[in-house]
Amino acid sequence: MGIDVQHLCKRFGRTAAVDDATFRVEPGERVALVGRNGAGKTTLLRLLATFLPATSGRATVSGFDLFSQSNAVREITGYLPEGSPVHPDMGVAEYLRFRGRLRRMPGPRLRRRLHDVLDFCELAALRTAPIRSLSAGQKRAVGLADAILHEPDVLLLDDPLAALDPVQARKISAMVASPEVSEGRVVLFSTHDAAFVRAAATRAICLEHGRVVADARDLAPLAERDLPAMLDAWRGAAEAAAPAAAEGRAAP
Amino acid sequence: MSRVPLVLWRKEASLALRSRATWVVFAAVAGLAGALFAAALREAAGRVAALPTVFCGQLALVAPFAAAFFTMGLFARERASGTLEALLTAPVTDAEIVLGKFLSAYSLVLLSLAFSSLSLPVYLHRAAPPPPFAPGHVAWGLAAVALASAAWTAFGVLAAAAARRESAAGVATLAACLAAALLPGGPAAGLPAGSFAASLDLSAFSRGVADTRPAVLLLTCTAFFLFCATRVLESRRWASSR
Repeated sequence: MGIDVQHLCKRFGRTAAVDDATFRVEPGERVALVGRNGAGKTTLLRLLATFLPATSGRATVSGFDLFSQSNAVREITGYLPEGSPVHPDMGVAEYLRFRGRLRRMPGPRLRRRLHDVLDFCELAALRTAPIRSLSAGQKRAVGLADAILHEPDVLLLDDPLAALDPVQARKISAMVASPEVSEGRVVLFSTHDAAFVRAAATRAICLEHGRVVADARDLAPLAERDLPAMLDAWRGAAEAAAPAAAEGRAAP
Repeated sequence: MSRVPLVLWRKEASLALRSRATWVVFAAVAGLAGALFAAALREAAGRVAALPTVFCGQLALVAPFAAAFFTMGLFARERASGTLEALLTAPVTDAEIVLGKFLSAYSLVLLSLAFSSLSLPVYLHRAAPPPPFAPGHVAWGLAAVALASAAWTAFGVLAAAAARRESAAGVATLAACLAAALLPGGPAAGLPAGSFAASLDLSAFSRGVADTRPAVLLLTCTAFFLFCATRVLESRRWASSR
């Protein structure tokens, strides 16, 4: 059923962080949310993760209403918040076990999934290590492991490559693009990294001042241009297409 | 019943027990309780029948310190480290979060009081001759202190949910609970926690008289503070978006 967002708005005082956002994401799609700092990417993900309530508009995640069925949405959603906050004093497996129990995963399933995600995220050797002793990339992998532990229908990742060195970023990027993470589910992630969009996304939604300014399905040009240049190109194309579409609608 | 509060309790309590600060607080509260007990015994010299009341009164006086310390960071620390976002986007209700955090803080307060209670066997061992002493009366007194501590811990959870800063929550909890403990006008003269004992009828408890009225009052207060904490958490979730 995917994600269906209709005229979603989020205001902080007089500032619109998300302004009339409307889009659909189908299962199997991996969508990158791109835009400059302050464009509304994090706020949009926080709305979809039910961390923040919207000011107006509506949205459904796998058919569950974001506002009236928020707990059902949380059950089928995996969310990696910005910076991947985790309890530094806990061990890796201990933290993931805690998160699985919080999600009411039965013991045998939790043990199986724990084994799988630790292997997949290359954390098996670190299962007893305290999280505070891990590198930034390993901490991000713990956050990703937490997000996919319960096999969610929808995965929301807020800038999963932020502040990682190129080697760690490539690793996380490959994990997000892999079938284990993305197959059959909706993956929506925000990023500033063109290579990550190219490697992991099937589509890009561009945000500017909280508004969806372009919805790009052809990501091939990213091979030659950086993300700011592509943002300008996508926005320009969308602006050019808008009057043409309006004329088309007006024509008898 | 949902297992989630127990999952949260286990995580919070085990993390707290790994912290050096927790053990420092256990030691400080036990030391304070011992010092107050010794001072009160000197004041109540010759009134050995008052021993259970003296002992439990001092515990009741140090319990707010433990309640304030173990509750003040419950939400502020998670907010500061960003883990509150992960917690609030997990499929758990606000009531489950509040109950789990209350259980963890309350178990630490009780553990702190258990360490502080060691001053009684130490005194009984060293006193010559040992005073006549009714263990059952002390047990009733301890039950009353445990009930009062539940109410104070619940108030601390409420303050922690409402305050943005950890220190503000701690000061509010300590001030409110000490004020409740030290309200003037109690009949148990000579005890620093005498007025509190009177309001709880702690002295009656520690004479072995079980009066259910203060117990009902304290349990009602505990439930009320936890209910308010749930509502505050809910409203903060909404307020954080405006």
